[in-house]
Amino acid sequence: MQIMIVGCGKMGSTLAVQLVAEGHRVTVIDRSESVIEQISNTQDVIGYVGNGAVFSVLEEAGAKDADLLLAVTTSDEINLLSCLIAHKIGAKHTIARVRDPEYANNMYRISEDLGLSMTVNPDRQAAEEIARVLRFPAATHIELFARGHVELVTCRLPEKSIMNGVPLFELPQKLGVKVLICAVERNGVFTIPSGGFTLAGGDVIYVTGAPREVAKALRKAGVIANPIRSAIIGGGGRISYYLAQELVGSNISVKIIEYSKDAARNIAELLPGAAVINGDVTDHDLMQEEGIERADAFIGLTGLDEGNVLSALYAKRHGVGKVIAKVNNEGLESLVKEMALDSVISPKRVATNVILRYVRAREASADHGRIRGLYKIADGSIEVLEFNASDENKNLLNIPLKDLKTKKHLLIACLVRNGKAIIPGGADTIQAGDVVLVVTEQRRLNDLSDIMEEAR
Amino acid sequence: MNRRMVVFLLGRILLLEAALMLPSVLVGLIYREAITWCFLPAMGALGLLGLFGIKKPKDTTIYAREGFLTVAAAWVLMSLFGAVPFWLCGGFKTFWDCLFEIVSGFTTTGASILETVEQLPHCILFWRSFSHWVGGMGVLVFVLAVMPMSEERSMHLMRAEVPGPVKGKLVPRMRDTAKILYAVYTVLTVILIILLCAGGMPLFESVCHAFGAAGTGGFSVKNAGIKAYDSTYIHVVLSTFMLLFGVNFSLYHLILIGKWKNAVRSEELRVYGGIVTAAVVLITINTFSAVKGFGLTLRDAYFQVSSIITTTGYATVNFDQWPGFSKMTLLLLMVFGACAGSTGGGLKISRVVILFKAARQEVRRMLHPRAVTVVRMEGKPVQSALIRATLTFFLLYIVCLATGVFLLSLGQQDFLTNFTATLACLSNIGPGLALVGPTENYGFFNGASKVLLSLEMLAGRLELFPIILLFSPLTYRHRSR
Repeated sequence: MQIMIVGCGKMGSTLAVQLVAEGHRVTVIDRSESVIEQISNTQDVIGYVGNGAVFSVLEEAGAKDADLLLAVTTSDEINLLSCLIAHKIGAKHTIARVRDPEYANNMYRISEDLGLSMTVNPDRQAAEEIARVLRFPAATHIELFARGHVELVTCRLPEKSIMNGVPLFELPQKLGVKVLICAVERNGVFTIPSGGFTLAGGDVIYVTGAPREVAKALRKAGVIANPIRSAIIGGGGRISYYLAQELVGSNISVKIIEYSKDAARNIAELLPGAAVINGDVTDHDLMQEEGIERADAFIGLTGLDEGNVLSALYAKRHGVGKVIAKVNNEGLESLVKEMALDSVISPKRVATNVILRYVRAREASADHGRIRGLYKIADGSIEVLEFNASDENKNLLNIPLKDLKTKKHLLIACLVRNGKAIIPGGADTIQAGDVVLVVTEQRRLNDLSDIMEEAR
Repeated sequence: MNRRMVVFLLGRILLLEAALMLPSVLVGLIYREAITWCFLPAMGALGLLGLFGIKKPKDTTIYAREGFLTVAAAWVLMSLFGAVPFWLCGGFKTFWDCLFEIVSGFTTTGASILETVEQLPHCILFWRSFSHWVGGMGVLVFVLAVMPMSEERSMHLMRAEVPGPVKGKLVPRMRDTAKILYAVYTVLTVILIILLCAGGMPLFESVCHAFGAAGTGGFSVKNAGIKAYDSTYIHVVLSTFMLLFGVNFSLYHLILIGKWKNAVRSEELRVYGGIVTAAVVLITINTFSAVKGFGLTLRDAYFQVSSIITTTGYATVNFDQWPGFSKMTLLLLMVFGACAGSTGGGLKISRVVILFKAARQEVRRMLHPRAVTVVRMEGKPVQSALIRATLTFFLLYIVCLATGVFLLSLGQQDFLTNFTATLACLSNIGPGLALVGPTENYGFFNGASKVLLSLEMLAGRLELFPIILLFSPLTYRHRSR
């Protein structure tokens, strides 16, 4: 693909390196001459010096033929403007990095007018990543679909699980949660199960659903043995805000320790469900007092990498089950990985991975007509496809799913409507504007209408 | 230094050279020449050494140092092996002659040590001219275009070989850039071959002369050179195409993608056009004689100016007998050279423009010591680092020229011969004045002088730095200094 990157800071250059390695044609725009010289000397990219939010600069750099523009400067406004202009010039897809929650929260209202395909918010994505690490044990594998609205978790069923021996159609009642098992691997054979399929211990299951629901289901199934019930967060910045919001929503008790009085007050106002303490995380007395020994998780999210690492190590020594530290400095990251931390999170890397995942899905779907995204799971034998349902798919709109005659070995795994994941039952219908997630062994589905059994 | 990667890249290049000898072998077979065998030992040796280029080392990262070194070593090695067929075919007296001849070929200089060429077999003549075509665009550019090695940092290779002060890419991927350059190059060459054939030149001669013009080299397959063709059509076609090959190739890319307006607006192109026009007018006036007539005078002036400014070195008249003013004009053109990013040599027009503008800026600063001035080129401000690099380049160019003239003076020739011989080699032109004039040759120089001039040619083709770095002890020191 022809990809333009506006802003060649840490995130922009990491993206450039990865995208070039994956065989894309990359153009980089940055204001600084030396940055451009550096990147074009070390990477197989073409560089332009200039402001990436200026019409003539984007035009000269060839935005007209770009398949994708990534605006990742430090300024939200420039990123949005750059995407708007690039879209106007003819760039097919644009992604903007938007960090300010005030912009980000309402982005879906204007993203169409701006021609935005997606926004990435490193802070929010880092928070989501941390929440995932907290939710699942290390052995599970997690894929995201529909821009993170839907998770697909791969895990092995324990020998003793209430899921064993249950036919799939009874599963929702049994668990009390709506999730869908979209693929099962038993003795090395992958199948897309029908409603009558019964699970057995040792099966590797692929579970889809909204993030919180999936976690709940796996907890009941016994895949997650020791769920986290309480967490202490060091630092009360943006990531902490997003993370606390997520955790409180999953009924985890959250305590935030913030050094600055104002910031502490601010976050306390925003988060009624969390306990906010004004103090220093590196103060051991305070940590003892706030019950670090009883916490199930500690997450160091202050602005200081070193402080995060040290306080996380301190928490580990006091028996906290899961400790995570945020580290911004890449050089430090590789060193810290050798330490006894459960996970190290770099917001920029997380956001970079989100973009890369998007690019890969786009590329995989590039020669497949109207697919929004294509992912391969189960060693590539099963495809998960994302479609946009539109008025053109008349043959299947507004028909209850149980009456739809779909092809064999094909499953409608999830519908995303207005940003909410719905695990469809037989009575649900596909409506125009939905994102439809289809799991299939069939190849060559180019359009949503292709899922129907062909009329003979 | 990543020695393994350098060896790997050199192996690849030698393998490529073996392949590049195939067309010459084919020519030999077509003309049923027994002497064609003389390519086989060279190809065998190249193929054997090329084995180093088969297994890619684990660590493929290279930096500027490896880039420069690889390019310089590649050109030296290619010349050594390229000289072998000449040596074996028996048409040359010493190995130094062969080396000089092939270096002159690869560097697109076109200076020959041969008095007559028509007695040589076709396969050797073809190899001589083909070396121009290969060397014109560059061997590493070719390697980047055809061989699957999407190495990161390969920019370091291209940077060391493509001429001009600013080495940019046309499209994001190096490989695609190299392909576009070679595609434009090939298409222009083929058009030229067709036009020459249409003018009545035999196919073999058309191909060889087209190679000479495309690489801005200057080897001819005729004893008398282009003078042998008494056709205004052929003279004009060749002059025009030499000028076209002296234009920055990125402009052709701009035209291809429909941005021809930007191409026409190019400052370097305009200066280039201006210099050519002025030189043609001045020389026409200066050399006008009623006997020859205006038309022929203009034709010869046009041909000679195109040939010299693009550093090709074809000759239709013996300009050594021109009046002093015309000779001086040509000498100046020899220094200027063609546009950056073309196949021509010399200082390059864009450097000359930057030098003049920088000088003007300094003069202005004398008058207004606190003035804040910006040098602009192609409408964009030129960074001071680039100005410094250009000034350094100019200085080193003078140093290389002076060293060459100084060392050549140990021989028996007069100053003008030494000076123009060095200049013609350093700027990759070919003919100079006096004893190395257009009707003369370089055969009378002794072995050491020939090696010295070969180095001057390599230095000129690779824009000084790679060759200087190849011989600089700093390059091989392990501690960073």
